[in-house]
Amino acid sequence: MRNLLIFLTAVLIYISNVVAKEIIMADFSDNKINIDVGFKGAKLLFFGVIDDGGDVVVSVTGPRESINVRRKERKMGVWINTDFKTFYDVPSYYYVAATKPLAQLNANDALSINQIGIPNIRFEGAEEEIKKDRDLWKAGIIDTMIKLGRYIPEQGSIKISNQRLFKTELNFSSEIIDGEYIVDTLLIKDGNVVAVKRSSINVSKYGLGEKIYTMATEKGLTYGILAVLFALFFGLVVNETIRRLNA
Amino acid sequence: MEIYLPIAEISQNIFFLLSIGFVAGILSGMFGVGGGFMTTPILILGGVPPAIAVGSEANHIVGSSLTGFLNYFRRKNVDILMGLILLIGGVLGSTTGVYLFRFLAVKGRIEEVISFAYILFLAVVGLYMLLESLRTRKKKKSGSLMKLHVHGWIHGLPFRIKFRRSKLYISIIPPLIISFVIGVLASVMGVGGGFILVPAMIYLLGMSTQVVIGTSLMQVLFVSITSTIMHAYVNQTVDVILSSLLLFGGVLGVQMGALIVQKISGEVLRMLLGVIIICLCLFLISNLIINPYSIYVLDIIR
Repeated sequence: MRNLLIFLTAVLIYISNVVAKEIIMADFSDNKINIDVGFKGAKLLFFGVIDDGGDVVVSVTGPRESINVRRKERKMGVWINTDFKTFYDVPSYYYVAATKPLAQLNANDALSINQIGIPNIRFEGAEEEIKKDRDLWKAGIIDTMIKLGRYIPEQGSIKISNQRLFKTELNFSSEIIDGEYIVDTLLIKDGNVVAVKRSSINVSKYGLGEKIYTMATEKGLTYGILAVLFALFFGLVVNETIRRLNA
Repeated sequence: MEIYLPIAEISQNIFFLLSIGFVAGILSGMFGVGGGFMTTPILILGGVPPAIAVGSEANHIVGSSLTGFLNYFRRKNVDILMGLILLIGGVLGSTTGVYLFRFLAVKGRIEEVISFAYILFLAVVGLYMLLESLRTRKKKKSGSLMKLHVHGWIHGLPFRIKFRRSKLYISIIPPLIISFVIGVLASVMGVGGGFILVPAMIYLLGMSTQVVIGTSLMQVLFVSITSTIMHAYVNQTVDVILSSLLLFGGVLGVQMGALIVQKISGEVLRMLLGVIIICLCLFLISNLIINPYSIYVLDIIR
């Protein structure tokens, strides 16, 4: 099913590029985000040119990850974990901006195929469940992602000037994970996607944070021992200092 | 001021972390407990992934318990011999606990059963401490002071040893069994165990409150060293930036806690600990009853 959708998307992109011969060009102010210890989130300016009018939609999809999901239920007056499922290829971040609210574009099929808009996000997992239950899990995951600030429910705005130039600002909170963020730009005319451009932003750990992360994941034992030694040293120094001050 | 935590992969406010470290430190210095029972849920509420909150908290406790331990050690309020025996029982118990946990986890939803048991246990211990300390206080006022610890038959079992600092001459079997049971419970529950060890030492072994805190800190120190290394090695869930910030706040809190202890008497201290245990118990109960922030809990696997 998923492969079919990818195939359809590819065909669609091909057709829209070749048949319609529409052009869309886009670029960032910067396509790298470095996460260091002082990271407070990032803002990127995303801008481009379209051929002649139409609506522009930009979606940002964070690295797709596997997630374990636990569901709580109230049983006999108390909340307990009642079910557990693993889902795959779940976008870790999602944001969409457009020149108009998505519902007014009259392009629901095209948006669905291209996974544009939070309700159109697709991922795998819990295939053994009937559709109704699966949809319940999916809705729960999306709701939680919104609560966590990973999926942005408010649609961003895009301004077009002179019918050709568009620009928008992409905001990233400090809670983003590292990896490749896919940015899809779609040009929509009369409910059809007439041009597509895919670009990416590379988010990576940097500086001290990157060194700590690498050591923790690659040399766990050494890292653990150093962490303990640091804590012991620190505890000792503070105790000595305060004792001297009191004396 | 925000700081990005490289392992937790989120940003947190520096002052928020410093202040929870500070409060945990006061508890640690006053009562000889790790303070993880309080810090871990607050960190989780603040958005730190649960596994990383637990792992980094262990590392934080290493530093703060050492500071507290040294304070008590200098004042000769640590029973090293007793601490060693408790440590042996604790290590055996927590190792058994890890295997027991694996065995129980296979059997189904045992976690809830254990957490109910834990809540019940805390309620009983907390209420007992509170009532006992109030009674002692009343008696102290009226002048008819009774001996806190009654020498029972379990203290008279074989292998009796003189514990000089605790002023006890008892068998090593009760401390071994107590620390073993607490070790099992601690590793199944994922808590340090100080909260149960302290009342057990006071009421079951009959040690004086001041010596109990120092000796418990010794136990907490070694347990947290082991678990930090295990968490870092097996799960990679220790965030040193996070634990350093907790530590900066924590060490000052510990010093303060140790100072407060010198100013107040044993039964007041036990009363406060009883109140805190009851609060913890109520907090755990409210967690079960109040509607959760989110019914779905997501855990990204990387």
